[in-house]
Amino acid sequence: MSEYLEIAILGVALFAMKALPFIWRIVPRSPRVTMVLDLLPAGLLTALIFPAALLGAANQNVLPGALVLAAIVASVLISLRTGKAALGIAAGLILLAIAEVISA
Amino acid sequence: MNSAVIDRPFHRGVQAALPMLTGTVLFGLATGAATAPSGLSLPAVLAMPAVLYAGVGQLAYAQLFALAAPFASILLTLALINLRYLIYAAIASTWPQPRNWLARILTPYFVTETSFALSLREAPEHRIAFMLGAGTALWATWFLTCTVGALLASQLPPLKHAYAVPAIVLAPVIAALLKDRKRLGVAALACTLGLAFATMPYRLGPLVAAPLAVAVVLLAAAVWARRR
Repeated sequence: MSEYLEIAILGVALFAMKALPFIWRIVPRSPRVTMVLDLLPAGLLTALIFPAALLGAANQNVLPGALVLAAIVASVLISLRTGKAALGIAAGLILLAIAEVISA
Repeated sequence: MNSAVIDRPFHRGVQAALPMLTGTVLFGLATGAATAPSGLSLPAVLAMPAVLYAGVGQLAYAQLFALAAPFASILLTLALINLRYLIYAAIASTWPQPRNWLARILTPYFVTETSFALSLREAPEHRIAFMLGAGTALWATWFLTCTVGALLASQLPPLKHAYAVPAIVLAPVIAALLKDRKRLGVAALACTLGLAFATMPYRLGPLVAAPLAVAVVLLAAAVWARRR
């Protein structure tokens, strides 16, 4: 099969995965479902984003690993403190850049 | 796109996505550079960010293509890796939907971690337009940086800590979501369970951890309410 056809089929499959809930409206509406849907994003995003980063940092040498953790903490604390996500992200990425330099 | 779509929430979405674009640039460059040496032709590598629009999916396809894996297994792998999009889309489908048909087509296409997480800060009736705005900025940046990464693959230094970029970029957005004890409890438990299930194949760990955390917290809240 041509690589272009493969990519096209995969693209359609991924789009279908995202589009089907919008077309079929498979999610029932009830107070209990609303309660679950209210909490699920926080759980899903946290479980998806943080364990990968924490395990990745744990597998590094002490200093770069600590800097990666500090970068994540700085990103959260500075953005919450200042109310500006950009500042937190910038601080986090600066610390990550230092970790990259040390690891090089 | 008509004026009903390009309204104020759309612009707020574009604006909210701007700080996130630094992460998209880094991850897009790294993804483009990683997919280029897979043996795929350059037009195919350049088409991937537009057609698939899924970072981990693009990396997985390039790796499996290089290994000459059967297409059925590639399809199954990508479907499992990207199963989380089904959940994001299922949640987003409960928000008030736009009447415009183009917006209805583009909304599922633009569902990603970042656009979804950012949209949660908006009132439900504005979330779709907001997601379209954020999605437009994120997609354009993703496409451009993947293209540049693929074209300059041999000249870009490998990033050793690219795994931390999504956490740094999304951490402020996620932290802002944790407005009460229940959400905080769900997040803490989901993170702990996510660590415990990290070795599950096809990145299925978070998909098990999150519903389990929600169930435990709701159960605990119900027990607590009865005792009081």
